[in-house]
Amino acid sequence: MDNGGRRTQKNYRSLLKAMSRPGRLFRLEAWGAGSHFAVAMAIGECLLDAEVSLCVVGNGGARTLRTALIGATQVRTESLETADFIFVGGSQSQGRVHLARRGRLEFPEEGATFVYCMDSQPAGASDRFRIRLTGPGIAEPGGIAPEMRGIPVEELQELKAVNADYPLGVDAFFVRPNGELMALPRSTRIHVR
Amino acid sequence: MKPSLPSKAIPPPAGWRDSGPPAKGHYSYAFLDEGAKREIRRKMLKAVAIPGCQVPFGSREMPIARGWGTGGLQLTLALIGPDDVLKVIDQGSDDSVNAVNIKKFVNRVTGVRVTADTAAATLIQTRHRIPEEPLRPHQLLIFQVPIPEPLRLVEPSERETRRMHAEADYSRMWLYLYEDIVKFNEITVGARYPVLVNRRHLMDPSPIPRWDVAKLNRGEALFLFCAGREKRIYAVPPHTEVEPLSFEDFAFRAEDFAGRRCGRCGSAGTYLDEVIDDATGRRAYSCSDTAHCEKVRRQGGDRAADGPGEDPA
Amino acid sequence: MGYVAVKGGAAAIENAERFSLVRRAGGASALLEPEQILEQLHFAVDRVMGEGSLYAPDLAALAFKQAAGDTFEAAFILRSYRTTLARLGYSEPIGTDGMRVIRRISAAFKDIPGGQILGPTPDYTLRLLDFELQNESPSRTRQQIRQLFQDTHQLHPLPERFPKVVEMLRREGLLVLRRHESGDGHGLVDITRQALSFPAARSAQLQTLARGETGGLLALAYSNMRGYGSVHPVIGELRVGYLPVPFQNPRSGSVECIGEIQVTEAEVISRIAEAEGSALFSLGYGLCFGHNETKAIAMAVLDRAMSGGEPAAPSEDQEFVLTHVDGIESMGFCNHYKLPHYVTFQSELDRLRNIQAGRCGAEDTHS
Repeated sequence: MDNGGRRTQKNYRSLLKAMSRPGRLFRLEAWGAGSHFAVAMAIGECLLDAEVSLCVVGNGGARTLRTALIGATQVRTESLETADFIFVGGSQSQGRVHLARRGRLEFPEEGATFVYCMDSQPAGASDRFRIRLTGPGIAEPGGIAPEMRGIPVEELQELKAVNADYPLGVDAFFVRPNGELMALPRSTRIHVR
Repeated sequence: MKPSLPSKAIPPPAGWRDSGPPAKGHYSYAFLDEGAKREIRRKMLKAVAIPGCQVPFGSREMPIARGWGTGGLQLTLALIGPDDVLKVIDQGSDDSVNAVNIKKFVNRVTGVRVTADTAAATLIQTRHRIPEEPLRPHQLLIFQVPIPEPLRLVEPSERETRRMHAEADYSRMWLYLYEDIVKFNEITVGARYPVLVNRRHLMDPSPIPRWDVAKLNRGEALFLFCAGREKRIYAVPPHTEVEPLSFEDFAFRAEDFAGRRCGRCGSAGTYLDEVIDDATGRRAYSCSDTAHCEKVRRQGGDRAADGPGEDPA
Repeated sequence: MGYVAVKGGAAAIENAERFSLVRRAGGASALLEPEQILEQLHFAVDRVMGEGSLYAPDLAALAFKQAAGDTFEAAFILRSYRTTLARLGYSEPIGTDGMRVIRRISAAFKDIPGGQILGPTPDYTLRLLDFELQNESPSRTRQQIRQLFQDTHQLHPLPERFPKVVEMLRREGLLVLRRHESGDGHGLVDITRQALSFPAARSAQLQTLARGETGGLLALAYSNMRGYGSVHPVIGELRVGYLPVPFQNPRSGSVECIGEIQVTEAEVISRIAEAEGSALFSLGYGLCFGHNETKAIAMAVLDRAMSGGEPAAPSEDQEFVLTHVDGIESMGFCNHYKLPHYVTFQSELDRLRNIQAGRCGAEDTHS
């Protein structure tokens, strides 16, 4: 198995673990330590190719990230409303979560996948203890606080609203430049205090 | 379904100059090409995000026949890496001809270590049983599924069963079970007992005995299901509610071994295979989970039985 | 009384392979060369190629040899090989009116532009077992073939293009227009990359039929022809011949012909039962690799049968037909019943014994 394939396989196992244990922190391996792109590219390598579509939104680096992802994976680009994968530069979608595909009742799996490419962890207190996550994959009946710090509560409230009609909804990954990874599938119930 | 035929030429793949038909006997790591693996990986993630929901995928033909585990095999091949340790069982046994064949193939295309020891495995591919030893969080259990649709029992049309899942309209399944009780004073469904996952999706747990159904509820490990011929992937994450359909006044019942023990290791709390001796007509019982049975037998002095655990009749 | 042997699975598999080898190659006859199969059993090769869904006659011949003549197995081997091939691109769409025909007939009209070309067909031979073939003399056969070209008088070259019979009907306004597929312009689906879902797009329908198992397709089409359905087909045109495969060169951008494939194409005309208004004909279309007329005709009949409204018979039910015509799937599932099922059977035994013993409500659930 060549190195690229091996890294992709290991990273995929982390993505799978993260999706099956929402709110828990895992780690991805990437080339080039710490660059914003490296971790987003690592996810791209695992999941993107010419059979799916991408939309990149968010802060300044969005265009460069999109070009890099297309070059590496031949992924197609589409608008936010129809894309399979939406990479967000930063931790806020500016309400765009509401525009993405949530699937159809006969095909709920058509709902989009978000990848929030967050900045390095900001200093200061985190809001995360205002959040309780419950549902499949979470052992504690009372729920847990998201292990990843710095996800804006407003964004989680938006996700909660978008996923209110389960099984329709979107699924989200959150990653940091240092490789930190957390997932929130649409099955996770988000409670905000 | 989305159209995927572009009107312009596809950019040549990397290494175009060097590509040609694969050298004789040369295959990608784990047989599947990266594109096939990626599609399976994407679908697995969606399946995990919507527990119990069947996700269609473009199932590839494998060197083993449809109906013989190509679904489970595709998941294994999309997941496996050099660090994994693989266990493959069929009817609970590591040495069943089919399990051996699958293990041979996976080992041939990956070089991955194989084991019969449940505790040592990281990936377990199974046909029709869940191992007796409780699984741990880092393990993955991959089920081979012949018929992924639990409603097939009451409805042959895919279009119609899809509608029923969309609307969570499972009334016909409830009616089927109710009619069983009225007719036979029993629910006659044996293996493939329908379960409700995350209080939303009716799911076929694959043809595991009712004995094993309880292990799906709030497990420690991720359960992945795949039907190669029918082209569906579904999943039950750890710590997820999985409830067999039952009525308030008619509880779900597992198989009953009437207190019999395994004739080889003496265990009383495992799923037993029954074997009838041609000549004498006597019945013997032994653990379906042969690896577990071996372990107990090697460990246990006091638990070992004197004879083949025969039926007193 | 002994315990069931639990070890030995691996040895049994290896021996099974060896025994199969003995069965295939252990006799006194000379081993077959794939080339012999390719040339002299060409109908089998074409069938395997079509069902294997891979245009590679030499590989189909090899698979047929490996499978000792089992067409299901051979097609399966080819499909499995197909899985390992990387997809390099897509050809340009190919119009079949430019086919280099070896056979071209129409049952709808006595005479057609370009003529009825019978070509190499066993259709009109008497099916009398030919014992001369038991000791076929190579020299005599070669002499017969040489004679064919010597005796034939000045040949008229075949026209390069044969106009489509259905075009004539189209121009007269007698053919109903096919509904356009929903979707984003391309409208093409790839069933090797996506699972079928219903209602299936026509491209998915035709792909599934094109790689379907000949016998399965035939049985379903036959049921429709006999009355479990309403097609009443007339063959508008049947062609067997070679089509060029145009491909856009990824470097220069120009479209080039990268080779030829042999196909069989059937266009079947059937009358639509219109409730009111004009009576029209509708078309059923069949196309498959190699020379396989039975399959192409069956395919066209089923294509037409499935395009109606509410199905009145299994052959008209798109989900029924498309789910059950793939030979690799059906053969695999049929044979999978040979796998051990004793755990599930034990579960059934338990249920039945309970019912018979009349026990009810008294047992504990396992927890």
